[in-house]
Amino acid sequence: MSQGFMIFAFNNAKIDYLAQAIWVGHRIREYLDKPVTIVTDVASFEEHAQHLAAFNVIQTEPLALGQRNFDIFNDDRVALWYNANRYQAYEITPYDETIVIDSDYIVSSGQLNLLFDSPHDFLTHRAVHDVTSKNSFEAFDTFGTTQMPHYWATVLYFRKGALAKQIFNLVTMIKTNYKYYSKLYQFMGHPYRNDYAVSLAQLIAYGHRIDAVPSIPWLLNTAPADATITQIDDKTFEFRYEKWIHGQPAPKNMRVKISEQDVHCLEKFSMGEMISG
Amino acid sequence: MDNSTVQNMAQNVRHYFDHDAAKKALKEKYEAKLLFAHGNGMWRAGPKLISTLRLWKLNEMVLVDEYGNPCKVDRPELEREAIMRWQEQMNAWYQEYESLRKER
Repeated sequence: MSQGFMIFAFNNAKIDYLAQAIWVGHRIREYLDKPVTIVTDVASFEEHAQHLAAFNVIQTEPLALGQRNFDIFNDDRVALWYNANRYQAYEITPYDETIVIDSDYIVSSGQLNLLFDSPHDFLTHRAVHDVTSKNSFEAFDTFGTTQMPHYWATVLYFRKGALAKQIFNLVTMIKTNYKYYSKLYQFMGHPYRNDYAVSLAQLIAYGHRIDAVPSIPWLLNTAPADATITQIDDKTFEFRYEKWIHGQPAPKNMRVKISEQDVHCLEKFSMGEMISG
Repeated sequence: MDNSTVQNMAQNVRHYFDHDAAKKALKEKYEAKLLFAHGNGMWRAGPKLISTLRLWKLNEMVLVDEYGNPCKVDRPELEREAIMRWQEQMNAWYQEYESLRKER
């Protein structure tokens, strides 16, 4: 069975997602020793054509989820967010077993290879670990007023077969009828969220039995949007952030090091600076 | 003071090492590394699994894996793998924890 990784990366006016994808793609080759397919559009491809020789590249039209502010501290960093193409992964993947990851998921270990040994055909993360220990993601445990369990599409493993095909068909159906599902489960109907579509698709595929949906058996390490990143060495990163300490009148400047551990970095601008050197 | 001076000062301000966050991140890291696949199941190396495997003398037995699925396993082989992984990761966890304690 062929195994590999896919990264969707469509640049917008503010973020160079393809540069992130290329950087992460090299790390996948280094730490996981697997082929990488990068899905991008013509405009992004032309900016980085010379850096893409090491990867399998698929060009497609980018689909926008809507407008998004990419910097929580500045309101002038609003741009279109092209991240709606993931529902195509099943059809376009060249592999029998695929792990789709976000371009801001920094690979620094061989942990993801364990998913290829999984008995399940479709897996995402159910729970997140905030590396700054601020519990920034507690509110994301469920979504909508009906409190549906939130699965994270940041890392998405699937093995080609009836179940994975059905879940991707369901994602397409939910994407097409997103307004209807937002009213049914009472969550915001705009912008489109991959996480919600994948969560609902899995729930439907497993017969609406919440406990029946399997997930990746470790937590998704995530650095929140207010934590800036710098690289210490090839597999060590430092995050800097402010943290309120009980009894202190003001937040303290804190830092934490993450070594030989994958991490999802939500702060895009410091990551961009780090990659460009 | 111009903008770049302020930015420079902000970058150089002292950041305290967050021991609490580092300790929790380390725990997540090594708990993930304790997972391994064997037969058709996913297992977490640890005292519970190792004790259970040592309690029985049969070569083949059925155990429930991390996903709650009953799996037929090669008991001596699973025991060997579980002990090896447990020792490896505990030693690495201890080493890294000790070096983090000294960080300021």
